[in-house]
Amino acid sequence: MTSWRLGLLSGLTAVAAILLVRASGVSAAANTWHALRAAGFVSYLLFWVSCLSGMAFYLRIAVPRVRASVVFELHRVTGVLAAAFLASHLVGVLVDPWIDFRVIDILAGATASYRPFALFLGAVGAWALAIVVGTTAVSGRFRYATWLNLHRLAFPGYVVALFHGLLAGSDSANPLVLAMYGLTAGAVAGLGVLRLAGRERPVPAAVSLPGR
Amino acid sequence: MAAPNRRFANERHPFLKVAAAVVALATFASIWTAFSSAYASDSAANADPESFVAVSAVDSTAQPPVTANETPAAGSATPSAVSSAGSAPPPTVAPSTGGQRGSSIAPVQRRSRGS
Repeated sequence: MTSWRLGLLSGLTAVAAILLVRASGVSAAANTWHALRAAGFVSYLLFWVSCLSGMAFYLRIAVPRVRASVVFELHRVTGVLAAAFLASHLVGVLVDPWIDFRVIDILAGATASYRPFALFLGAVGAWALAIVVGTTAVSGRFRYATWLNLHRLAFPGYVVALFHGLLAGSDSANPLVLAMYGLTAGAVAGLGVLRLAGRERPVPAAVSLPGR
Repeated sequence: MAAPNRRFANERHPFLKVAAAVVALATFASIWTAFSSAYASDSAANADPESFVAVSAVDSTAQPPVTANETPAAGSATPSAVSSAGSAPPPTVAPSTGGQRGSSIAPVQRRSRGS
């Protein structure tokens, strides 16, 4: 099964769970709220794993007894899964009976009545993830250098997703949640420093990425 | 240097992909369950008489504004007013989602406190 089909299947499973809960009637508002928050957390964590494994692969950081192809596969599948859970997070926001968001609020963020700046950051992060995953899906149509530059949108996308979680999330005061954000951000920052301190990898002149 | 997808064209890891999806779904279910459990325990704590008094005390400091046709007693939306009057009228001001999203309490719970 390809990463894309697996991501689609996982995302549909999460969306189906949220819609079933929403339609159940009993405590639907609370359960939908819990579900969309959980989907947001999982999407963030998958985004983080994808960023971390991608940077580790790019920097050729050797993990004992783990082949580079495994790190690369982890990077790819977690990116697709992050997009899938992001989609279920957005579906949950749309169907939640309490917050009453419109589609434009999800696409732009800043139009929402609730914490517009934090939601704007979330929208920017979502667009960045969508561009990164989307351009990878059709990477055969891009020159490698073009695709790589678009792929680098993942870094600002991760940062704004982090701040979206901190500023918009209703659990940001929870010490466990704060520790999670701190540890994940610290790991990415550490590899980011290595990445900035190291030399650029040579970019092949005319190699295109075949979409799988 | 070949592009990563081309370099690893013959090295696929189907079990890794399936495992990642299973872990992601399990994490989703676990976090969802944890939130629901926390919400249920919060609800149970609010059902406790002492917590109920504490909530009433907090809510009474920030009552919604009263319209001209209502008496202050009728406009009170605290749980104590609900319990003493039997059937309190709905609050004159709809609960705001924006101002209340800062807490970890689930939305329904916040909504039920105000009515």
